[in-house]
Amino acid sequence: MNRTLRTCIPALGLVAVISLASPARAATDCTTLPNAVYVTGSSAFKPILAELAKVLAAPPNPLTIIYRGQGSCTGVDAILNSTALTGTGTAVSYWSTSSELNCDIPPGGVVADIGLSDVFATTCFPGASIPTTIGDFPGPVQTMTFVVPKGSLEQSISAEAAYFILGFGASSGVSPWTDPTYVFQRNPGSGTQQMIATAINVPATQWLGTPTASSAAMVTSVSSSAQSQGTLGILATDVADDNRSILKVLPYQHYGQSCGYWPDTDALSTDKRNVRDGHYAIWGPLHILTHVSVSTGDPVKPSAKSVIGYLTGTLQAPAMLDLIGLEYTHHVIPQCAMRVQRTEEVGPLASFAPTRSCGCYYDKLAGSSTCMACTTKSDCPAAAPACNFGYCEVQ
Amino acid sequence: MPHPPLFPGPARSIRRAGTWLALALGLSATYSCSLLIENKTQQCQGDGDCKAIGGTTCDLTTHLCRGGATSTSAGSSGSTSSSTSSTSASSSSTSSSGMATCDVDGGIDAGGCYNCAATTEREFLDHCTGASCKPFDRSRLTHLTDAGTLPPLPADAGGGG
Repeated sequence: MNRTLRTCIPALGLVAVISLASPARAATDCTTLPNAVYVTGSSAFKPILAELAKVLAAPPNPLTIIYRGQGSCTGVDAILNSTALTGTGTAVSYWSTSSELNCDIPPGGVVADIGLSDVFATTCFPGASIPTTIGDFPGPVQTMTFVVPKGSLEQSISAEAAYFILGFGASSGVSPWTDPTYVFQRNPGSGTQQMIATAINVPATQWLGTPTASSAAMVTSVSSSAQSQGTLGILATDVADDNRSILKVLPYQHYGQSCGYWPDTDALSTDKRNVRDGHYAIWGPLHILTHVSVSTGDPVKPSAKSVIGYLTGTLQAPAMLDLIGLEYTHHVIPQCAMRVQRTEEVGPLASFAPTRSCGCYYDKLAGSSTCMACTTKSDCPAAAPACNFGYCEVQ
Repeated sequence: MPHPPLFPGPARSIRRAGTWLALALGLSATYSCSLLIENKTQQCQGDGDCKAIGGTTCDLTTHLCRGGATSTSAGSSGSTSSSTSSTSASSSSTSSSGMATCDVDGGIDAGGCYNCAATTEREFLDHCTGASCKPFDRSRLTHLTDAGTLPPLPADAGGGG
């Protein structure tokens, strides 16, 4: 065997291995997939959507979730303005019962069935009126945070401080955050930036700071900053909590509030207690937008209705899927664990009593439930007569 | 499906004693809601859980002990709960008559907290809690107006860099 051949054979083998390992080795036409539901928008929710999609892909009545993550406002646009959903190759995902695959949307695109957004439609399109043919179903709650490097000495941040830092840049006067080089922002289209912008009253388009291309880039920029004391960034908790070893989430003190709170009971907890009871202000539900019947308010497409039912908790999750556990793992809060709600971006809070509460179970997942355990409602006291997810709840 | 044995191996009497001990510990943990008030997400699941806080009943929506409502337990105890790890306020408050009030440590306008069912934004934000908190030192805001308010954003602010 000559030297050329000896060199080529291992190389060809490597190419073959890489080709086999690649998830995008076949160009499946998305329109050939069974019972397809096209979803687009926020990328933050993809891990949870993926697990649901795997379960729903199972026979005998498979449902295929086809997803393209393009950012919150793209999800709103797809439903509000019926902007065609396009994409090929690795841009578009669907799931078998075990893995993520890719498919091609035909030229010309398709109309999305569901748009996902971390922010209200009117945050993306100020002044837009939402027609009665479009429904906005509240999904799991996402929390937005200010983060600093692990080595930062800063203990908290207030809305007023953030107003100066992000609105005035180098002349903020709020030491040590006075150099915009180390104050990292996302971009005006980012759901994280838009929600925080609403909270601190600095429009997302007017932020002063260094842009980062993605949440992952934000993690890198903040955690590896050369000026750890003067560095500040923003992240949603689904990313921030996965990076607690290199980042620190700051307690946030809202306008008019007397103290700053972590999203959780304290820096080490994972219970999102302060979001759930209204002490932590910067949060919002995942907005699940779809076309609805004007007469019933129900999603027009039955398969989309099923997906939305699972994501909002109005439909019991398939037996093999602990959706609440999955949401906890990804640091978002199911509606059934919330005790407050709001109807506008970082708007006024109101008490909320979920129909089938899972607050006790969520606490248990976080390691601190004090509720009475149960297997049936007969195990529960009159004051908390419902046996939900293994714990006695009021309802 | 039957549970596996708790204590495989030892004599039945030891196993029985162990079972009772485990049951006692389990029950203790189950009902710790009424003992560890304010440090958990739920203070109460019924009025009985609020007996340690004189003059309060259980708000079944928020699962917090709140004052002002008529209840068989109102004023019966006269005791107050101890303060907690919260840096914002103590757990509860009683007036000189022994009845709980909504305003703890002077109420939210005095830097205290609110301990009844919240209805306004500030009552939610400054509701009494066992959660830890860290106030931001407002004296670090060196560019407030003379009136102590926020100045308008600069007209040329915006966009990256």
